[in-house]
Amino acid sequence: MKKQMFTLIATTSLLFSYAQEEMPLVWEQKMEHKIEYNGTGTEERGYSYAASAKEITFFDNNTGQTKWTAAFKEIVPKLSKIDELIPFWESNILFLFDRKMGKDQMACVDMESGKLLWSTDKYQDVSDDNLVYIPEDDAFAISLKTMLVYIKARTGEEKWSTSKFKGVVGKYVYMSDGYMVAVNFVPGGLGALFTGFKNQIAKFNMSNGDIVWENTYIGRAERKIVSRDFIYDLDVENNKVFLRLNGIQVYDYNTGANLYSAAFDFTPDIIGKPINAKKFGVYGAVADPVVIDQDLYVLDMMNKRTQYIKKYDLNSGKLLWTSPEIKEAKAIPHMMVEGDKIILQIGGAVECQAVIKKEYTVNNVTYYYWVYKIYYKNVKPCGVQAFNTKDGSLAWDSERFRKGITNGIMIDNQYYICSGTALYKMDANTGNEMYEVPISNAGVGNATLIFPYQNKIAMFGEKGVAIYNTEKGELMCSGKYKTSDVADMFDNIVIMETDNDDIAAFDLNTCKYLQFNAKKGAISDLSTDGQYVYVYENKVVSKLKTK
Amino acid sequence: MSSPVITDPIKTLHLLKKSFVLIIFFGFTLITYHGVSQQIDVEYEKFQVDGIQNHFSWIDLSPDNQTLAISSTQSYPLYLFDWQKRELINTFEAGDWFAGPRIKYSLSGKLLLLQQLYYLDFAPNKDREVNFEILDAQTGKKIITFQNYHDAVISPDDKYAITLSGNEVSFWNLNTQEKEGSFEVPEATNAIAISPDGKYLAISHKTDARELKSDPRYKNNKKNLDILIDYKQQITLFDAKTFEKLFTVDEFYDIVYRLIFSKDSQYLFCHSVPNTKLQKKSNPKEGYVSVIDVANKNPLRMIFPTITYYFEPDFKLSSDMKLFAISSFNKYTEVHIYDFETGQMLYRFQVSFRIIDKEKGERLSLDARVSFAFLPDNKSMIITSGNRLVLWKFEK
Repeated sequence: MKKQMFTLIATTSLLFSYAQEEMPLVWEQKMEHKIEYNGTGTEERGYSYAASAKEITFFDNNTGQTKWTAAFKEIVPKLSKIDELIPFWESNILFLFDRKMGKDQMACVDMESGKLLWSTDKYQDVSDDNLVYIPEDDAFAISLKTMLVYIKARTGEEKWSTSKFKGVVGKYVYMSDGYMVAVNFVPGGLGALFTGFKNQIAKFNMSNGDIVWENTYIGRAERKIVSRDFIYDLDVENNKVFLRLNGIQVYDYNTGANLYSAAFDFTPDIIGKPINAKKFGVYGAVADPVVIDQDLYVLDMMNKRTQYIKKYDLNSGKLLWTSPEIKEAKAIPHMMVEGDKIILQIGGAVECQAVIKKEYTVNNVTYYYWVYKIYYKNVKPCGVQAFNTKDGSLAWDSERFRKGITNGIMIDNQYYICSGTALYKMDANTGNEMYEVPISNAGVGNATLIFPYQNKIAMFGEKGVAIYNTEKGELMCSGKYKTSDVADMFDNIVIMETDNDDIAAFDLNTCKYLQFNAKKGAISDLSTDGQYVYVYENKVVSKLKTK
Repeated sequence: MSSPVITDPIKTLHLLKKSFVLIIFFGFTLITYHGVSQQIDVEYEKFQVDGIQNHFSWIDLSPDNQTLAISSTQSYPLYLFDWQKRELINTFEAGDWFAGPRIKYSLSGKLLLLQQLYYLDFAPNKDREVNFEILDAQTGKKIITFQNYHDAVISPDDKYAITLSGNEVSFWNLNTQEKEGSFEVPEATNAIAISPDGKYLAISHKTDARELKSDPRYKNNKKNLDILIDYKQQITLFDAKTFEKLFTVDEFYDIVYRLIFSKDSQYLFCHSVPNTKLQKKSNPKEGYVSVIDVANKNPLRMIFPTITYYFEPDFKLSSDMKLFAISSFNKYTEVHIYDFETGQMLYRFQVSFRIIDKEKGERLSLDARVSFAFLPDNKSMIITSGNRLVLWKFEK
């Protein structure tokens, strides 16, 4: 009897120990229309929107009260139903599109007041893909079939146009001297719009659209499928333009002269796409080039079987040395230089992004929806190797991580790496392990990723979050949730999301979390200050506290 | 004004033909013009040298800054040109080579050194073996000829020609045309230079495999060690009087094509091109001019890149030693001018062919060859462009 009582008490206490608090509801508002488009403004801005194809509502972030609501045709008589809506928060402008074959309507609405700023049918085939906001001028660069048009955001007035730049303005650097260096690209699906497209990098005089110089670049300057981040970097430093795309390409800022390039053509084909994926991309399979003073370290993925590190002179592109071959590497996601060692992480967590078609059935009716997913997949073979910066010779090669790696990080010049089942601290100089800590005691499943947090090591597990100290690798706290992926993060708040769109907000200081069980297809947005989550479901918007 | 009515079918046909030709021509003009990347804000003037139609190969300005020596391709003559008066001074039959010669005045300006050029280097990884001639710069008289040598230079006092052939460095008395002395440089390659102060001889040579294999710095990277042994070269400086080896520059270079000292003998410029096995796929014709601080025996991290498709690029330091210019290629031939102190590019000139610019009788410069000479003001330069010269005022 005592034994049974003890078991009962133990079971009950165990259940209670896993009973998690729900996120406190700040407010809940039901809209008059379905929510097909939504956008969450910052807490400083104080308002957000939810819209269907015919109506839109802007609501107050503090109270959920309607700020203004209107049918689109009330704002723009020619727009009864929209096909696309693009917010440009920096300019308080909402772009509305109604696509009709050859008679596309485009309208700009002020977010604050809901008043129409301007509308036009002058520009055809404009979408999120070929419309770029340039905050420095409060203007839009619209890439059309025959020209690039630069218009003032709030009036629609055409400042200039040029036919010498084909394709969409990709990443750009707007300089203080009034010039802009930009690369062009063709978004997926717009290939037909830009016939005769060629890769261009150009310097614009932004006052009149004159192209001061133009040159070509190697590679495909694309955006990530879901997050829309550019997969390349463009910088202007020391009068040189550095394009980090498939290696590095360098131009002179003043003259546009092609100084050198250390680029390779590599398409990662290492992870299969998910079932029903409409779009899929693998990113970060090849580490970015590293610049230290006048030295440039580039990972040269010659082909699937042959990879080298190459050290170049940053100013001229002259090859200084080539490392021994890095054998059997399908992916090399991280390269870092610490002291006189280059540390390579071979294999491990690689970022994937996918747009997946999902379905659910209610009362024998099947509903379809798209899931925009960012997740990490582990790529093998795995390993860690270090090379000497002076001559590229192999300094050390750790056999420890053959079975798996999530990723490695640097904290205070110390190297920490996770195998998925254990956490290691390593001496970057020698490759010696300073400690090995199994992570099973955290109770959050295998690790998927580690990252630095306030001089501590934060670990995302398959089922939650754990924090370790760097000194001895001691577990400081952990929080177990359901099987989930990291959806968002701000400061100490991490949002984990399940496949069923349930979310949990973890506090990295305590590993405690609050949860919210959402409906299928719900969209959750973490506020920019990490304090709240806005959940958009069918017709309802909810604001929840993360702490 | 009414158009004339044409009833003659033959005339109609001719008119249609003419119209068609015009449409084609202007259509092509527009396409070409549109396709050319135009530089803005470039001040230049193109001019002809006394009606000469030959394609120019190389130019060099005499030390007194008065005369421009101009060589040309296809065995055409060599010209002396007063660039200020724009008058032809003299014409010499010399440098009888199809692709023309590289041309360089001796330090005193009394002699001219001609080096045979090629349109294409079919064996870029092998040592260069070409012909050289030395002429009297006043009379054009041929003083001495060297067949199939790696390199040749004139001593600062104009008394000797110093040549490199195989591993042998030889001193030739220019009065007697006799060899007066020689010494061996093991595994010597392509280039030799003598400093204007007459102290140093710089010679390029292959790396020493035994030395490298025993050096702990290199033996831990077999891949790199193999590259250093098979494809890299080094530069050693010798005492020009005693032939004593002074030092080897602590740096590895690609295939060295040319070595030149600055006029104050402080810097040594080394033009090198990677072995074809080391060339980048993205830019297979990249070459570099590296700078060596001779006084401090220090290879500087100042390297000027160039892209050269057909032959060795021209590169020169301005007379005030503040500017460094080098020819390159990127869709068109180009001249890049750098601040020699900072290594920053300051100016770029595209020697591109503009169809609307074309003069009658002008020949295009489409084979990526371009040579230039800084003018004494160091604010302008003369550049070859086909069978024309371009006066480019780069500093306004």
